[in-house]
Amino acid sequence: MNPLEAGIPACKTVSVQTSLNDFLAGVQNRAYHVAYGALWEREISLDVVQESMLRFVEYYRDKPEKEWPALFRSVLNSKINDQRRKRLLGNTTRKLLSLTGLGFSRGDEDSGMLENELPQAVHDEGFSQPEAGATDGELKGKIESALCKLAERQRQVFLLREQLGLSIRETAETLGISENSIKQHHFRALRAMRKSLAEVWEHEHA
Amino acid sequence: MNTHNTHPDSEQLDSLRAGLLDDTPQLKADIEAHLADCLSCRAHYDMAGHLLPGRLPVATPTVQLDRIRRQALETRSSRQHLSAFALAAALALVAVLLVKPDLQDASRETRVAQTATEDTPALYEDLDFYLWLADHKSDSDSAT
Repeated sequence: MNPLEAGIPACKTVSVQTSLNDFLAGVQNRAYHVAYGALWEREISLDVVQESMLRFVEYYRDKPEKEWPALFRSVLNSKINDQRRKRLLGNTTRKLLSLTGLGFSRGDEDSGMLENELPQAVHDEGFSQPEAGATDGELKGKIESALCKLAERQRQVFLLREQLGLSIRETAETLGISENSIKQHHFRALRAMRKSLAEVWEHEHA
Repeated sequence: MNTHNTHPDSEQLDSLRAGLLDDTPQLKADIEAHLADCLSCRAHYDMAGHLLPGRLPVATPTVQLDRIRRQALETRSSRQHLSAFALAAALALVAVLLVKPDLQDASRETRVAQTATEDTPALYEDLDFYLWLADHKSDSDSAT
């Protein structure tokens, strides 16, 4: 065998590994914000991204590179749906147990979430920490609360467009929906945010 | 629309921000021109600066994401090693199974040979009986 040919499989493996690393590095922030927009919980969103990457690397790394974005999006959505199901199941179980009076104290019952409720966001760099300025902390808290009230898709679009600064096309590719839908979701999210925070904006604007 | 005299309303500003004015380039250009000159509308447009990049209270955990990515790639590598070992073990097992019938035949032949060597002394042990039988038979033949 030609010695050059003998080296090809090893080179190819290294090349795929590098491409895979570059691809995942390129999508990781978007994936996190898509998951975070859907689930609104930092740790769970990180878990979802981790599971998606593991599954993608295991099952789809040998697929053509041009198919990777769509495949990764599919895996990510699947993992997000899994988390939604888990959350729904957990909430239903909690409600059933609280109805039957088994297993939960009053405190647990109070902290239990309803089906469509989202948990309060927890950040490492928490803006609501006491050392942060009280006014600034309150304001950030209000913005978080307004974000929490957005519809899931609106929140995803809002985060991708405003936080990551993605273009309309990039956002559409990331979420797998049309550019017109992105514009509409973004517009509605902006209107909702402005309405929720009217008091704050007016105060700051004055 | 005389954009320098009329302030756009918040709906127009949000439409511009969301990209809904891309289909009406003239209106878009007018509002953008107004925003360039009007600080008040500019503040209204980006919600008092809270919609500037990185100002939202939603951090991107870059360090954790980098770690997760590395782990995912390393897990794949370790699984590759494991699968190589598994393949080697499977090949070894197949080889053993293929060789085993030959070993069984060889052991059977050895057993037959051993049996043969064990029979020989038994024959000689009974030799006295056969000699006695031969004598006895010849006696009885002569008697008749």
